[in-house]
Amino acid sequence: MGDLPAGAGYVTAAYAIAAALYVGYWLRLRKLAKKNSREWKVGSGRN
Amino acid sequence: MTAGAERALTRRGLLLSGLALVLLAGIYVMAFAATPIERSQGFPQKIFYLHVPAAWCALLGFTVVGVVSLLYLWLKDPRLDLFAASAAEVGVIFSIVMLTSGPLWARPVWGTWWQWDARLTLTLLLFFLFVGYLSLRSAVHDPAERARFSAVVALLGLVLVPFVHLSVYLFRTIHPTPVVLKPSAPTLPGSMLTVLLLSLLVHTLLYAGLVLARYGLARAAAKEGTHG
Repeated sequence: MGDLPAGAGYVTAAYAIAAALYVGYWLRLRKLAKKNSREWKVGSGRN
Repeated sequence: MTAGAERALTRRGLLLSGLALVLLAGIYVMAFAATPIERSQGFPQKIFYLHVPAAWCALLGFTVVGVVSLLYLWLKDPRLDLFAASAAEVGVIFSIVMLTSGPLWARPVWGTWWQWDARLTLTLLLFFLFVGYLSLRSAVHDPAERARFSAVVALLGLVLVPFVHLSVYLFRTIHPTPVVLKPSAPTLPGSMLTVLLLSLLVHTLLYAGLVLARYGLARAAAKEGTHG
């Protein structure tokens, strides 16, 4: 750990939280879109 | 709009935001590898390339929500209400990034996680206002009533946005003044400015893509009569 610059933990935490939020939200939207897509196919008799 | 058109809108939004996420990974690498370590703040200054673009997108998002809500009150087009709600939800995500990266930057540089000064307090107030906006939307079930009430809350947010931006000039605050979005030329070395501008661009693309995808989903939900 001696090689890490001072404050590296704060920087890593900030970037990791941001990545988790952005990717997590994108995955949530994709999941909703897939669910909608399935329901649309069922609703229109294209299952 | 047909269900296919809404699906296409969502797909385009997911593609755009997916591309932005890939580009964002490149920005992460550039922030660490292609920028110098700032002399006075040291390594924690790297948070700058994340915090400023997230703040930009949050304030841009809440401005969009306010302007579109104003248009809704004028035109009464339910699509505008759905767009405003989508922009608000995505704006809250960027606000969380801004409000977490800020204290993580402040702790090693200022020696404190938080200061109740004008900039930080107004920003937190704006965040709570839009969390309230989304809560209000979940609580009111009549679509027209929900749209009208939430548009009024969004206008309050729109009034607050310039105060947040100008608070560093209007009040004594620990928060630094802008280094790019200001009347005079940016005061940053070339490589820092390049990475910051690229990060601003990629974050804005990410914001636009996520809003587009959310709006497509909201339109589909509204068509089915479910709460979007």
